[in-house]
Amino acid sequence: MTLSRDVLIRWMQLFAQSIEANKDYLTDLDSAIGDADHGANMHRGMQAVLSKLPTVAESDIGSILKTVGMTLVSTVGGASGPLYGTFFIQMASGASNKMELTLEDYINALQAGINGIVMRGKAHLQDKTMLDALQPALDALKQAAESGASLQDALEQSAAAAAAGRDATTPLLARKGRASYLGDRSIGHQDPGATSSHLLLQSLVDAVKA
Amino acid sequence: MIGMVIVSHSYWLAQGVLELARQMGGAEMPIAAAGGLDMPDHPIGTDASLILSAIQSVYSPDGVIVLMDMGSAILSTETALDMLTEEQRSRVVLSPAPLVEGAITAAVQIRLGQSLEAIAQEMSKALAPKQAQLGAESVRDADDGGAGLSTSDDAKRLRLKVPNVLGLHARPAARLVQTVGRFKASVSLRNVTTNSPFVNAASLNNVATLGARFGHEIEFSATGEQAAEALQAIQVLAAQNFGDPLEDAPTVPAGPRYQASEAREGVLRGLAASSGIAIGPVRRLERPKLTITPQAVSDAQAEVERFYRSVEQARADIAANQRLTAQKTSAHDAMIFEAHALLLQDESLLQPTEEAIRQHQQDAATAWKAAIDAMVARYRSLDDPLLSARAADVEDVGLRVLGHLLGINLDLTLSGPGILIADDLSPSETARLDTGLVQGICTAAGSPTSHSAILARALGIPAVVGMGEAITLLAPETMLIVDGTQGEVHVQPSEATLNTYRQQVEEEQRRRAEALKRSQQLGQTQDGHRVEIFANVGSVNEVRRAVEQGAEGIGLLRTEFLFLDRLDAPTEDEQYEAFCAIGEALAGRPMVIRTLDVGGDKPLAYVEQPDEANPFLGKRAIRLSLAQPDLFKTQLRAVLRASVRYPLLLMFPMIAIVDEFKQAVALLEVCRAELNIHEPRFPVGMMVEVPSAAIDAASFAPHVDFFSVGTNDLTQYVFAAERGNANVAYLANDNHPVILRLIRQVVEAAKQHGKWVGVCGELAGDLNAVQALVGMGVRELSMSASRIPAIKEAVFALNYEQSREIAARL
Repeated sequence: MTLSRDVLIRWMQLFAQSIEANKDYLTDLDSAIGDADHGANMHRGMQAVLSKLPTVAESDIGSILKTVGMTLVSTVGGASGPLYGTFFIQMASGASNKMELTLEDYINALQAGINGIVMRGKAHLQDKTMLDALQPALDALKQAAESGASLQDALEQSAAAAAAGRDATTPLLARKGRASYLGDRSIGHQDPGATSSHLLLQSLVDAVKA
Repeated sequence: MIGMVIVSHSYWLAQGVLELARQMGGAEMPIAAAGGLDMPDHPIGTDASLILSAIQSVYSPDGVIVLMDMGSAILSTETALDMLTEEQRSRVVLSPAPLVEGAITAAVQIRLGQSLEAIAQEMSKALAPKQAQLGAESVRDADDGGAGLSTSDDAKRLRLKVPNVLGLHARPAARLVQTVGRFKASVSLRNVTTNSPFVNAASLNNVATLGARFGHEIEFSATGEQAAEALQAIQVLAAQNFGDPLEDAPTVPAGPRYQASEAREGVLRGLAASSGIAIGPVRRLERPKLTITPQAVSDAQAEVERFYRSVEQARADIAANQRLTAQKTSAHDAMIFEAHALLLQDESLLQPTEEAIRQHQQDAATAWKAAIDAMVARYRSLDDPLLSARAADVEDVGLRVLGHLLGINLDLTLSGPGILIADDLSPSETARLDTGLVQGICTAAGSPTSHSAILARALGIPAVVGMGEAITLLAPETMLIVDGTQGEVHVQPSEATLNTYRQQVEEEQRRRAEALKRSQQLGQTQDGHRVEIFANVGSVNEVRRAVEQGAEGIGLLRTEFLFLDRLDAPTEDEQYEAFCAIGEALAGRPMVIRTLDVGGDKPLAYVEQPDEANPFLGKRAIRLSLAQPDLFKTQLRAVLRASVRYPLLLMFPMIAIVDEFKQAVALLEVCRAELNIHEPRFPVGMMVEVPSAAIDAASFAPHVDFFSVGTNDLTQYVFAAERGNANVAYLANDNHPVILRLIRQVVEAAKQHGKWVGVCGELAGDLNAVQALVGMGVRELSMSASRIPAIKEAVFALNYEQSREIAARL
């Protein structure tokens, strides 16, 4: 089984829905330790992505992902714009001219995307950022692939690892972004970026199942 | 004109700052705002595409300064930068200055026509007036952040003490700059001891003018993808004394004696720069005069191109000088020219030149001369004799380029053998000296720590420097005695003085000759058993000395000198020429060439090497060579070509299994076929360093022509103890019975197949081991040249039969 263009388009649609459904939740999380704009920003960005998707429905996967990234960098507004934007643009770099992604392709793309986030945000693990959800998700994905799991199982394990990583951000001290201005007071709150990152990966699971 | 971009989360804030800046910068200053999102109601946020268009709207090759507020403004700006072309990106500066103060400062500076670098530096101090007015104490800190360099909290830091006695002078600074350049990271450093601001570690001038002397604490700050790797490499470099040999220290005389007046009649005094005595007539050094006539240029672009062409030609000269010096002296001494090459890519010289051409229509020669003069003045103003001596390097490089710009040949000639007299000598002039003609050197200016003096020492030419004008007034052909040890020059010496010095020279020569005479005989025991005594060498210039000391050949030619400390791989011709130079110096004696032996501990800039936790157990030596067949074959081809002209043997390092040896030989055969060189079939052997090879020598013996035991590495691997580690020093004993028995085993396995064994580790030069090694039947001992006379004496005194009994009882 592979990830087709249709699945990717559905992924983005489901992610947009998921963001819309969780918009207030994300904003609440962000108001505790940030500038209370994550939900609204991501919603604005994903709505813009939805309006762009029809223009790339016939394109290769690299173009789809790149369009998503370029749209996010110019419409989200907050730090998640360049971060998610770079994530998708970097994912796209290895997927040009591909019409479907194998599990291995997807692992490489996710790795590239995470590398992009690290390059852009200069975050480390345990800095209480989206990286804390994405990196364990990638690790779980690789492990699943090695043990011969199916694509769907691998994605499910990956999303579960992201959820665990998200939960583990609560006791952490924020070291990046607006939340780091709060110092010790950032401890005890779940990171909004890690939360939306989990939603992203969960949406892919749903897109594959649908 | 330099442009400015204001990035903010808020559309209105960006517009407001733009208005303020416009007030100071005037109507013609290119400035653009990128605030908020690109939507009708300008929502709060930052937009990489909007920033990209703003940068492009004010872009010119003069550059763009971008100011931004915080958080996503920085991330979005960096994302926008990714979308520029590489050339454009190099001309865009992201300033860490505060938004309002920084924008006002930049506007003023842009209007003044300052360079991008100067503006960035000025902006870093933008907060100072406000802090001073409000009585804040952090003004000093703001200064420390200096030069607009990234020293944010994100940066990774490293602090260390300058380990080398001469401080971060040109060669170590050059190595540092090169090391930094290998990584995707922006690295800055400051001198903590002198409380200097951070400067760019990629600029040779910045690093060298930091005044970082022995024992000073310096701090590195690095950001970027490979920040951690860069700092790690710097740490390794520092642990290696920044590439300076430890013995550099004593070559600097304690205190210069500046009384360059006649202490005695007919005697001029100066600074002893290179020891020894030379007797000969005055030979004046005349340089071509360089006259620069300033003229306005109409086509600035063409002039800039002409300038960079001359820079490229000068770079080629420097590379040639480097090769020449490496052949005459050593790769280490030739590093001086690596520093010269770096000066030619230093933005603090190139940029002002290019700007003066473009903005003031100056001709390239005038512009370049001004940039050089400014840098020379900067070095001269430093309160450190070592660093102010670097002014000569900058001048030298400057002249090289000027020569090409003005079309004048700068090479020097001497009318005949004698003592060279000059105002001063540049390193490249010194390197090009004909050592057959120049018997001694006297200069009016200069210092014993100048690169010219270092080169003179390496070349063995007696030299006295800093003699003052008097020395340049001597008529040609005046007879001189140069006493480079005392720093004295005798002018028109009396017959008696001449005789005294001649006797001194002769006495010295006789003593040396006698000491070496016995060493010239072939090695054999008193009962006539032949033992070959060879030398280990690591550069061309060591060969002559090895022969002088009585080496009957080269038992280990470490070819690493051809590969280290450079940015590109040596060509086949270069290697071939080096082998030929050695073969020539050996005058018919054989040499054993060992192929490249490097690994992760000595990274090569031009070879992909994996990051290894333990490079001594990693991809090194033959393992690296087999994985890089192009690099390896280039070396094998050079060896094959040299084999036609000189007697040589070849061996491969770190062979652990028979298959590695077979693979290496197979590649050698491929090269043979490619070159169509089928004769001579020189002996091909292997080093025995890996325990598997020593233990199982019998399996290797049928395939090899000879074994050479590298006892240093073998001992480390057998005892699992690193030689340099003081904690396990008690294990680092190469004269241990276990090692000797292993060698005996190798010798016995070799004998059964009619092969022979040499030893080329330090054990070969160990007086306590020589009887056992000779007794077990080792045919050849190869050691550092200075050990040869003593070991030969020991071999002459041995009785072979007795030695065999002793070896058998081990």
